[in-house]
Amino acid sequence: MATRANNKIRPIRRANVHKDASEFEPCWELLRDALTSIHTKNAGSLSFEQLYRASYKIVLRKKGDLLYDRVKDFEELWFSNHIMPRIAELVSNNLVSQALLKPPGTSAHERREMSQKFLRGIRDAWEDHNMSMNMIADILMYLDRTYTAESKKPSIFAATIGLFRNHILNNSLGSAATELNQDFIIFDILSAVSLDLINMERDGDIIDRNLLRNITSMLEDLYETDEEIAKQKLYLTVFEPQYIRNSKEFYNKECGKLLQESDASTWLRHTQRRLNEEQERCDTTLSILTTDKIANVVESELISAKLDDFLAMEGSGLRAMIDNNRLEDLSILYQLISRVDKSKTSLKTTLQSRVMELGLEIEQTLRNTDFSTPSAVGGLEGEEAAEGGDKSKVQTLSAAAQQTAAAIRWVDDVLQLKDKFDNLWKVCFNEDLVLQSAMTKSFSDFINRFNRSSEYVSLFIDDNLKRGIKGKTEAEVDVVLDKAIILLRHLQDRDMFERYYQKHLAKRLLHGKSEVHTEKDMVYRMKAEMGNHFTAKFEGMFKDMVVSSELTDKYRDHIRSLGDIGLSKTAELNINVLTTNYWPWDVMGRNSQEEGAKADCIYPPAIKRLQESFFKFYLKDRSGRVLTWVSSAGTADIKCVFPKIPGKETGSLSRERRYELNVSTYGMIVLMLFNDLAEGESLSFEEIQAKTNIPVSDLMRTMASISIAPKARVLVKDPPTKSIKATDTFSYNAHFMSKTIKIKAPTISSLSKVEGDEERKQTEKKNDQTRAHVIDAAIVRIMKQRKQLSHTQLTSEVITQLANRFKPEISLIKKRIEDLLVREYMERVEGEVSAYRYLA
Amino acid sequence: MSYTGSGEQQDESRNELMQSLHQLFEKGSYSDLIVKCGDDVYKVHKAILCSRSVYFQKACDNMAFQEAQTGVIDFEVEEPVHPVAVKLTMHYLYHLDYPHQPMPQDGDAVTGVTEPETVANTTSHDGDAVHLTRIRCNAEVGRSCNKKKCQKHKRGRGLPPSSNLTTHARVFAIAEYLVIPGLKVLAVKKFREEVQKSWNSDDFFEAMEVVYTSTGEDVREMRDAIVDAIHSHQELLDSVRVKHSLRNNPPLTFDVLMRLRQTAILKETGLYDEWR
Repeated sequence: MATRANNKIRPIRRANVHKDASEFEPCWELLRDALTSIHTKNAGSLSFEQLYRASYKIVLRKKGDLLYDRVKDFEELWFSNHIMPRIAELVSNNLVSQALLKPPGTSAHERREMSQKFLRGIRDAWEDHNMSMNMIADILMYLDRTYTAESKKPSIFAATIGLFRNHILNNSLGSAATELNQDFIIFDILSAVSLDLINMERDGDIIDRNLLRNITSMLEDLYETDEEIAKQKLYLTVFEPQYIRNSKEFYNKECGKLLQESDASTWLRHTQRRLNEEQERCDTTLSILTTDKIANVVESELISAKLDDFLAMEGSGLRAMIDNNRLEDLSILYQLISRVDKSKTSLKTTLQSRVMELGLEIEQTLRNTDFSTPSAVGGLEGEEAAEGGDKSKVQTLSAAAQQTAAAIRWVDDVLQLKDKFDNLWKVCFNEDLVLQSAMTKSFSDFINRFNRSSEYVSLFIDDNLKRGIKGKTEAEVDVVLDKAIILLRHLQDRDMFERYYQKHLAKRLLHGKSEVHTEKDMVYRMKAEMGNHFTAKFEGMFKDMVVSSELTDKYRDHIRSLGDIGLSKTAELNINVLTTNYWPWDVMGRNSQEEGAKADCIYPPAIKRLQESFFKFYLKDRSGRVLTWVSSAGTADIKCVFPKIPGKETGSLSRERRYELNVSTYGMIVLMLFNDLAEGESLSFEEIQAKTNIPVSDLMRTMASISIAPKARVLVKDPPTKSIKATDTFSYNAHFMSKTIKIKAPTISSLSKVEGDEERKQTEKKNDQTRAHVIDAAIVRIMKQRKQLSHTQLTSEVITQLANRFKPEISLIKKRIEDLLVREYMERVEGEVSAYRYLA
Repeated sequence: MSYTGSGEQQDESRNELMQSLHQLFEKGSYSDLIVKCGDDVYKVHKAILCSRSVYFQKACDNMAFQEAQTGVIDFEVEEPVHPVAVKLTMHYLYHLDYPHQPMPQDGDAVTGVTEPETVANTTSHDGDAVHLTRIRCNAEVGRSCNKKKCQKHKRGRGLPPSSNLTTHARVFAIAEYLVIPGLKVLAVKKFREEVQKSWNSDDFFEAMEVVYTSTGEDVREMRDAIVDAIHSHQELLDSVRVKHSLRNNPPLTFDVLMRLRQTAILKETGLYDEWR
């Protein structure tokens, strides 16, 4: 302990309970003098302990009521003698008429000075009063804790602070009221000048924010009654409603003006600035209690009220913002709309309709664009155009190639559109989920409205995977594949896509047009996106390719071990064994009515021997399998020798020329016929057809490839027209020469292109057949599990199950159900309207 | 607040804090406030006093008051402020407890004031460190204390050397005056414990007078403790001192009477045992 007191303790003075009356007056006198000192700011010598003790003693003697009343009386007297006159002086006729009648002709500056002078007077009086009341409440704390609390009276502080409300704010001091014949209370003037000041600030003037803040915090400290109910702060009950009304009016006018004089962009920025200003005003000048309410006012008056008018503005409205990528405008717009509408309806609808419109525009542009020159396409080689056969100029593209180019253009444009909106979404819309799903829906809608989207997407991938070999970096390919997947997500008829992709993939694989790891990567992505069943066939195709390559190696070893030199010298066999179900029907030669004829295609004897040898080898370990030769899908490398032309001493014709010619299997069969011909002899188209039994259409294409395309014209056609006719004759072209050793005869079948209308109809027919089976399977699966279902339930379950693959037509489902009823997979439930039961 | 760590760790940390508070109190270091009462001077800390007592808070906060300006609070020795009670209150604010200390009787010149010494006991009880307070006999200057012969030591540690009820009554009164609710509760608790043994003593009669004069009628806790004691030991009503008090102190008489009536009602309705 700090200091040792001496050990003697004086006896404590014992209070006498019975001396109550005589003790009160001295204590009160002490307190009364203190109150006066406090009011006159002479409190420096007051001892809290003494004053507290005095009030404690009074309470102990049970004179709390007397003290309470005395203090109240004292304060009221003091208030009317000292405070009210001070305020009365401030309330001049000029001020009152200025504040309430708002006569024209006074400058803002004058008004501001007068208002601020009045508010300063109020504030100073309030601060004196408030400080004194606080101090008095401190001294009388024990009275408040005991007597006041028990008698349920307002605390001393509440009772005295309320004087300011009763005698000043709710009063009209001075003579202005009678002189101006104007009924008012001081609160009216206080509010009017405060609001006037705020409006001045909104118009760009500088005002005394601190002063206003003092005034509003005074209003926050005062209540309607001495009970001081939290919701009844004068700020909330009187001032704030007036402020909100005033602001509504102000912003209503401002919005009208903006609509007439400005554009949407200005409106956006202006509104944003106003919102920030109001927030700041609440922080610095008024009260944070009002922050949300005033924001609501600005939101409803400046944003909601005329939102659609601003958005519809020509040249600056929402459409212009989207079309011109006005990112900043859109960001602000998004923020503003988010404030007033959680579902962002106006923004959402316009975005959706814009996506739709722009999407359909792509289709429209496609129809109006001329793809007949390669420059419009880029990347497609002229040679491919040439074999269309019906075009006179080499540089123009065949109709099919044009279609292909259009497909790629379509996908590119759709992706660009998607990029554009994705960018808006990321940069401006804060990755809003509502907007995302709305835009996604619109994308899906227009993509699926276009009936060739499935085919086009597959073609796009085809094009990129083939071009991937031609110098794109892996990262670039990666980006493209990602985009393709995005498009895939939007496709509804995924089974159609699957069909096309299978077809295109088959061609790429068989002709080695793409890189296996990129292909696998793509399929892996699809698998992740759409599930195993979707990619099962594709993976089967990959497997076939791998197995085939091993098989080829083994067969080669086998031949070597046999030592059949003759066989291995004549030809080398590269075999692809394709599992029927994995590969598309047209590659497998299952498409045409001429199937029978195809099987009977006549091979040259050397090739026949090779085939038989392979059959023997293959079936040794795999007895029972059926191998069919698909001659339409293969190619052959032929080493050919053109002897020197007699009489030519210079140039390449003077030498013997050796070339490696790559042709289709049919091409090989045809060319080998000419090996047996004597010089000068020729074969007619019909003779060739008869000798080979190649289907006419295939033969026509084959002949075009080796007798028309200048690069590989090893046969001479008579007459030398650009198309093949059944009456044409062909002979060996002894004068053939080429700059390269390896020559690839262009083959039409190796090109993935858009289907013709006829082809497409067939594809759809095939697809519909497949869909019927898939629906059958789904129905049976569902019924097996559920045993009994109503028609509607069953239909909706089928749609749900198949949603990932395609959107089945209701009529088709109905037809399948009827079919299954006939086939007795299920039966109608008797007595119930359209309900079915599964039959095991 | 949540504590992490084991119980032992908590005890240790708690001891550390209590030890440092004890040091602050003993040495008065960093003191920014002086409390005086009679001849006693305490160098204390606003942070500790003002945060626990509204009285100190008000006295120190408003710079218009002399106390806030000078940093000195001078208590006049007059009801309800008693120097010993002030001393124990200061002790309480730093130790969460106050030591046993009999109140000097009015008119006695007391020598050899006992000095409390707190010993942090490491045995824990309900997770809290318990502070045992033992009283060291302080010999008068120049006279040595033979501990073995000292009466107080012979009675054994922890046992009250003499009745302490008036002290508790005074501590209670000042706790009410200074608005320290925890101290009020503690004083009543101590009082109720001790009155079990010391109900028939001058100390009790003195405490009774103090309770009924130092606090207002509506401050019930200590008055209830007195009335309960009288009610539990109704032979007290036979004692001259109590009779005298009842005759002269209407509030006390009223309380006792009401209490007897309450018991009677409870007994009639058969709820008495349950109530007890």
